[in-house]
Amino acid sequence: MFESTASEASNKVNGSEPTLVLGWQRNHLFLAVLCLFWCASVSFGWLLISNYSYRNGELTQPPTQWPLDSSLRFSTQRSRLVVFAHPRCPCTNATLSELERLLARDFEKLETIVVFEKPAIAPEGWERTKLYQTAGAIEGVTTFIDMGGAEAKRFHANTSGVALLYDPLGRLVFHGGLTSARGHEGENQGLASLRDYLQGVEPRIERSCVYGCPLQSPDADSSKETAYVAN
Amino acid sequence: MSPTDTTTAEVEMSAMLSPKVDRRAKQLLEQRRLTVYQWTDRVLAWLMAIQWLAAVAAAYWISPQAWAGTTSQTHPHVWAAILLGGAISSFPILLAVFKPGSVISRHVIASGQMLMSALLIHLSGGRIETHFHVFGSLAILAFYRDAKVLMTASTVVALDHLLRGFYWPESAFGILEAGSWRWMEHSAWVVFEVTFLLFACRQNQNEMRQDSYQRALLESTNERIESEVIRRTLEIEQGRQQLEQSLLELERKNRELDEFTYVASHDLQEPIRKLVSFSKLLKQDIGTTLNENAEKDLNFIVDAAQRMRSLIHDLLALSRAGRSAMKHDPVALEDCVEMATEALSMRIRETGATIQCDPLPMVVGDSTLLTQLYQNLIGNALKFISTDRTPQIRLTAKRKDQMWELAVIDNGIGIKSEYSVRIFSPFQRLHNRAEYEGTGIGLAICRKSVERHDGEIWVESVYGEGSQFLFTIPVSLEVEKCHTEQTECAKTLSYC
Repeated sequence: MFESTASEASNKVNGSEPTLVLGWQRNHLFLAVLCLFWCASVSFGWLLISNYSYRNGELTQPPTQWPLDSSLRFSTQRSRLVVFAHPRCPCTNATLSELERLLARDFEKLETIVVFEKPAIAPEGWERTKLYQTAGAIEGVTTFIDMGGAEAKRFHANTSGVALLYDPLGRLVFHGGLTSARGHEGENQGLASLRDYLQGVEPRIERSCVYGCPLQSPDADSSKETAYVAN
Repeated sequence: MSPTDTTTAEVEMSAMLSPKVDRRAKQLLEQRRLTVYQWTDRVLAWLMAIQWLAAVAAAYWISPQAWAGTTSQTHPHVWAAILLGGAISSFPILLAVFKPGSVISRHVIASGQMLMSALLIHLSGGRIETHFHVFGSLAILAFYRDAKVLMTASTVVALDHLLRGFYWPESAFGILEAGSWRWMEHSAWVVFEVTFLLFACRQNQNEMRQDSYQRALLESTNERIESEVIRRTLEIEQGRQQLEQSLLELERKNRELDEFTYVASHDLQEPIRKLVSFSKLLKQDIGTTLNENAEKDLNFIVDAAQRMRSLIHDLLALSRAGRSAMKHDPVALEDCVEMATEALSMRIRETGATIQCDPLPMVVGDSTLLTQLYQNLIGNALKFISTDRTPQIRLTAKRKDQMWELAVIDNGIGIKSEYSVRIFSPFQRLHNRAEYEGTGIGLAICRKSVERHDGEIWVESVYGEGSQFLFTIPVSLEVEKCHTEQTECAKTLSYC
């Protein structure tokens, strides 16, 4: 065993048999190298996965005023929260969880629509995923299927999980993500800003990073019609 | 506490403090620890392998693919579960397999286990429930009963939180703008659990140490007992050998004594016979010419010569009973009794004795010795009786397991219980010659005869009312069977 080998080796160091000492040292050196290699490889792996998780998606400036040509309809004069989501993005689960937590207290202050983009070339039912059902089950949330991504284009939304907050007058108050990393639940700047707004104080930031899958393929064609689905 | 207890406690204490026991206790403790370390290494190696698979399955289930519009690819989390999970698990597993029980193995395993917790938390999207894996892992690592392992694991957790708190505070603490000491608060909860686990580890170590000391003490005691048993066995063996030698020496001396007795009694027969004969002749020759004193002296000489002749005769009989070649024939004890009573017929007639004989068995033995036995016992019954009684003698036989218990019961004067053993020794007389004649050898001959038949003889008596002389002879089933069937086969049994 390692311990007994160590004690034997210490005896040997003081005494004779230098060959054994050399063997013991080589053994330890080999283990130390292995440990270092292990630490290095694990650290490198962590670096890669962290880099992926904390690499934010593309965030462009959305319209500062509510676009009048939008197909999204609101029944009240409350503030409007629009969240764009890729129906199959696993990272957006965390966004919906945070949204659910946010609305659990203050859903009456907001009218929320989660817009699921359905690319034009996607087959029928492609967008009806578990994520879609989850969004629909959140109290105070309306889901909308954005056929061909027209609304996403209209609001300049490129990344799943991006949230746009407009006040009752149609002015953009906040835009950005509601998670701190890809698919990572927990407190974050974007969520905190929304909460600030709902509590009637100035949002701490107007823009936050968004983490999620790209809504469109690089070769996406958005010249398709959209459909409105009431929750 | 009694003095004995004190001594025992002192011995135990001194044994416990003895360097040998101390060394052995430490050796046992190390062995026990090594067993625990190796076992826990194996358990955690299996756990890490299972966790790795679970991480891959969880990643595939939670985030199988990353999407961009309608195009997708395997999600990086799946690759992270496979590759990073593999990297985290493989080295600890290899150490558990190739270096089980070593210090480095358990510390690497502890680090790997905590890193696996971090990976699982990451893959689950930072779900609070997955954080319980950290606490579960610490509890499992406590199986090592090694405080240092828990310290390593706690350090990994603290470092993870420190780095995350520094770079991505939201991922670690779930809040914004975490204070620079926030990581310590999280670590404190880990320390909270670890404190109790450390306490349990310390208790376990103490128990293991005590167990080892107890075992070492037990081994030491066993060793001492074993060496004592060996010493005693050696002593017993030496004693046995000495006894055997003494026995052989005794047998040799007995043989010499028997030889001497036989030779002396045999060779003395002739001169004594002559002494008796010639003293009688001398008495006849002198007739009445001697004065009263001289005649009295001559009578003393004649009487002494006759007694000496009887004594030598009996001595020779005793010697013969012990040394003559013994036959092993089927013997009907009833025949022996018949011959004995025939020899004593005159005395029986004189005393008017009645002899009642129950059915007696067939045995294997020497008919001469057995006849002599009955003759002596019946003779004693006729002799030792008060003058106002008529001898009533009864002969019985009773089966007891593999022995026949035979008895000669009389209504004689009886024997005091304190003499019941002594009477079977040669020359032991309980009465003077004027009361009851004899040499005191008869019962010694009886004992020798019975012992040569592998039996025992003893007496049960009520003083003044009578005696029972009992003796045992082994049962011979073959002879009995022949006797029962009333065949003549007993005479032809070759082995007899």
